[in-house]
Amino acid sequence: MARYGLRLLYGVIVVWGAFTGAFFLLYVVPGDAAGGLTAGADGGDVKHLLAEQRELLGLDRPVYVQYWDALTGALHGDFGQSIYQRRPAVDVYVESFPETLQLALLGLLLAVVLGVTLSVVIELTHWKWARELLISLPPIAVSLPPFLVGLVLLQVFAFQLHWIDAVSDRGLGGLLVASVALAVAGGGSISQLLTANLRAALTSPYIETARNWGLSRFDIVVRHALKNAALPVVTSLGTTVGVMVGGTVLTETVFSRLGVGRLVVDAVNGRDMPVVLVAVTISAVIFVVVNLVVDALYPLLDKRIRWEG
Amino acid sequence: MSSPEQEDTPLLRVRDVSVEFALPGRAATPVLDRVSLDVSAGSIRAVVGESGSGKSTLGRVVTGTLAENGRITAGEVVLGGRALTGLPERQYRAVRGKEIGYIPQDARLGLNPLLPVGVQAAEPLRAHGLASRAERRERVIDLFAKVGLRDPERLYGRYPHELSGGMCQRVLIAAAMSTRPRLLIADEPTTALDVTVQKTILDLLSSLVETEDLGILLITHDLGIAAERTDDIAVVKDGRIVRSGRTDEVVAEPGDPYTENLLRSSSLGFSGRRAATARLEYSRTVPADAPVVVEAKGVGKTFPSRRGSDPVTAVADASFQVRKGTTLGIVGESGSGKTTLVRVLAGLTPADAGSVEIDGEPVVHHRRAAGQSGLYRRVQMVYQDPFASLNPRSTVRSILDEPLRGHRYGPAPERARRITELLEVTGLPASVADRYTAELSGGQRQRVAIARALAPRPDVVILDEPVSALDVSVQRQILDLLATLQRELTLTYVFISHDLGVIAEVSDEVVVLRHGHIVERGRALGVLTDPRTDYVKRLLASIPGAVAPRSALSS
Amino acid sequence: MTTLEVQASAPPSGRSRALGRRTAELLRSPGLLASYLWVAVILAAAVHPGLFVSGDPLRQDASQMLLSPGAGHLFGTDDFGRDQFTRTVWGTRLSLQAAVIAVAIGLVSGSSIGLVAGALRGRVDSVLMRVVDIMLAVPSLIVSLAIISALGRGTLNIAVAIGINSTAGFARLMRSEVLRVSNAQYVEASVFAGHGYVRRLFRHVVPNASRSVLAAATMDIGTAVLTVAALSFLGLGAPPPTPEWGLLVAEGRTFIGVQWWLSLLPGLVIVLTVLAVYRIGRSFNRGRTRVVA
Repeated sequence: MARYGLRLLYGVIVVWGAFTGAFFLLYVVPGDAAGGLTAGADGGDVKHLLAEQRELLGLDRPVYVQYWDALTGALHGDFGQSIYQRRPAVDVYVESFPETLQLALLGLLLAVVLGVTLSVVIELTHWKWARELLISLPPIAVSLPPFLVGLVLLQVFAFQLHWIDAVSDRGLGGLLVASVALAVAGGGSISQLLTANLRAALTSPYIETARNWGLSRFDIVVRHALKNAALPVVTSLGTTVGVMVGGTVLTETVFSRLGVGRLVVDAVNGRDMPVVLVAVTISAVIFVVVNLVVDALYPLLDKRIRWEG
Repeated sequence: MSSPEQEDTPLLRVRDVSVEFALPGRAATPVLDRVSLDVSAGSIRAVVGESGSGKSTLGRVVTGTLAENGRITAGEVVLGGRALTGLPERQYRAVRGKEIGYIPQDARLGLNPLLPVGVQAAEPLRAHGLASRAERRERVIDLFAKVGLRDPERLYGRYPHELSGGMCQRVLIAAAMSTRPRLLIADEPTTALDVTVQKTILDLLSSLVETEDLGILLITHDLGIAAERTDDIAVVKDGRIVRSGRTDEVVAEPGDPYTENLLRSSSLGFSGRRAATARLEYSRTVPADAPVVVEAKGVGKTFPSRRGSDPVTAVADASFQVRKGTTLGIVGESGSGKTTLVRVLAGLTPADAGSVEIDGEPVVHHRRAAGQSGLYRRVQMVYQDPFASLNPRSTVRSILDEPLRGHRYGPAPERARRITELLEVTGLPASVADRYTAELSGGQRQRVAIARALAPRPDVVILDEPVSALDVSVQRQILDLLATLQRELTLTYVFISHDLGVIAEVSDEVVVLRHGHIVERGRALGVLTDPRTDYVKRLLASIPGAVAPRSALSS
Repeated sequence: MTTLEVQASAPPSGRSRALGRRTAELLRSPGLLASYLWVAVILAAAVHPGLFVSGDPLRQDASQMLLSPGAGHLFGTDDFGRDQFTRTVWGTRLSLQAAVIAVAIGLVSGSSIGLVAGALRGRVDSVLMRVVDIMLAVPSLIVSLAIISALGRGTLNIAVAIGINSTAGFARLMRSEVLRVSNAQYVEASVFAGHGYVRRLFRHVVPNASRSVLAAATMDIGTAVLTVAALSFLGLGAPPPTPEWGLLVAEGRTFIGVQWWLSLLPGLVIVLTVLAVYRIGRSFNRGRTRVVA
């Protein structure tokens, strides 16, 4: 368990690092947040407006003071005011979060189910041509830009079949289609990794043994090879979730869903730094949490790994 | 032991089987060419061959598990009167694991790391629907006890990584025997095991032949094992059977030059006395007052504990001397600490205690071997696997040139001359200079490694299992080469091996390591003919075929 | 059996033989051949768009608005009457340039960091790898977005953002390759040749470690094309009239219901390019793992 505590500490460092990196990137490197707000203003007002804004945002103070304030604020859940919405950035973020969470979770579920099924079916397919066809699917899936997949689905399901509304469908259908768009790339990458691992696992000596015990192809693939092949996929779940979170940005834009992804794009466009800072920090938190969960579950899957002993 | 008398219909009959492999973009390669052999119930048939001879393919032909690009082009395989060749996969599956049991080469790798061994041992029963879930457990526990596994109840839920290699092999034997097959295919079943464990596994297989009236097809590269344990032998070379017959007959009268050669290079009929006496002739030519070149005093090395377990003592208080022009043989099984000792000698690992001196100068470990070029002018090393120890992206010439540059041998033309000379003394044709090591045979690669070691004209060469990765017939050539080089260049060797047979032949002095401690040391002849410890006695007794052929033993 | 496998995937032998093997592989695999051809076409379009189209990508023509794909207009025309095929061809340069710049940044900075970490180990390694871990903890698109919000919009800024972002991945790969190769016995054996550490590092470790890093870099060009397009699609790249693949898809989006080709045909070009680059990258990576008999 001591080792797990270490992981926890390590996770905290990662989140802190992400926050710090993002803070310096957003507040120190370029102009500053005030510039974003005054971008629209003309002429002589700008200077004055800028100074006023800087003072308001506390940007005229030394960097380390700003950083310290931001850090202590963040620890209390205060990432500053959203420049546009004029209310706490965290609130803005949290409001949009459920929308994105259901999309990402459903997308992840679909990606795992589709990816694993495809890989197993590939290994169980005897016909050479069918197999070749199936094998070509995962690389194609990862080569499809998520926004393009979204547009195609939108064209088909909204404009051809009229199953969903083209703009911001709040129903189950809309959610489902959007999560399919999200799941294609993730499922493709899961399947790609899993297919490669399965192939490697299937050449292992223990598979040779199982085959000589008279096991069927299905038993060999599902009972003996799949679990071994799936371990690296489980390990990379944190990254897959990251891909999902990133993917929501595009999917939400295409399907005009008002989630975190859209919020971030708007924030980036408007240089609404506090919101971007929240988004980066929470993404890191999600990654760390997913990895902690995976770490905790891993010894159950692979008895060779143990926390103690 | 059962009588090897031929019954009317043998259990397994292989007749004129030919197999080809297809490789993309190449003509089909024949791997087996009209191979015929029988296995009778209650007997063991050995198939002996070197790597690439096609012996494993023969096993796969019988189990019907040829790789997808392999094809049986002729002949038939008949098991108990039923033709197996041409059987559809579904029907073959009913035979595999039920009538034919199988034991793989490396037991640890042969078990699924993620399933408990009990569950795995029950897989054949499950696959063939021979027992319900509850019955399976009971049957497996019985079988575990039968194959000599202690505490089978507790073992049932264990995972392979918690078991030793020998235990894993017993689990696999239990699995294979669970369906009461008539035929067992054992593909190098003991190659990955230490000699003492190897013996117990072979004993188990022999006893199963007797009690279960089992027929075993034993695939091995070791003629010693074959001679000691089997009733019939078939020697395979390049996909053909070059000699086949009753084991005692083949051993007495090989009849075929290849088989004869194999016999000579095997441990068969090995006698520690004979080998060590032959070596003695050389030992006498070394002057008694030859200077001590390598001196180890009380060398100790302990590795820190890994997560809760106790620290591991790899080497404790090892002291020895090696005189110029002689060979010190260091013997030990895996985990005996011999590798650590070598690394300390070569300055690759720091010792915790004691000291090593070479030519009177202390060997000091430096991080990243900084400033060690003085040491490595005098000490060189040859590793076990030349494939791993030679950079795959370098040509032989640049491999040999590297130490010459590093030790400032001289300008380019002089180095080129030296490279030609090195190729010559190691018996390599000049044409290999511009080849990559992937294009060379295993023996040639090891010669390159030896040539590289000789490049800076060292005094001491450390040989870490230099022939273990090679086929037996190649082993012989490399050992001869090493002996010649020692004589001509007055080299001092530290020779590490797990193989007492090899050690007996090359060593003047011997050190036996066990669990990091030197359990015996002395003149080679003394240790090998008159061992004082049980451990060394057991080691000597485990050399397959060393005492006498099996027929003599059973009479 | 085993020996045959070894022959089939033997490590690089003579150079001429290696070249022969590549050619043979190419001819056996129509997919790979097609991928090379497509990349050649794309590169030609990027360097010299005039080879493929004669028109001006920015020329508007009110009489030719929103035409369907046909002989005169392969990809149809947009709402300003501009020829979409011409715009796609002209967009190649910007999209590809950004992807290549991004990978170059990531490759150079990442593999330097990885080499330093893997070679020095110890504390330097720990610190560098923690930084890398932090970078990898945030989804790459979010990092890119954050960097763009700092640097501002524009195709070059997108490239820089993606480059900085991919640094972490290259650093980690290079480090693990350096460690893997350093553990190879031939590297330890080279100690006996009496050379210093740096020479051994660059003679034995770096060449053997670079192989898979370069293969990864090839693959990464594909990923970069995707990400550049995605960020442009979000409106963070070049401003509108400029032809750029992601932007073309975004502009056509308004007409997805009826004139779907405006978005999907340039999208198809992106897909084919990414597929081709991935296919080539995979062929570099294959046969690297050697079968030991």
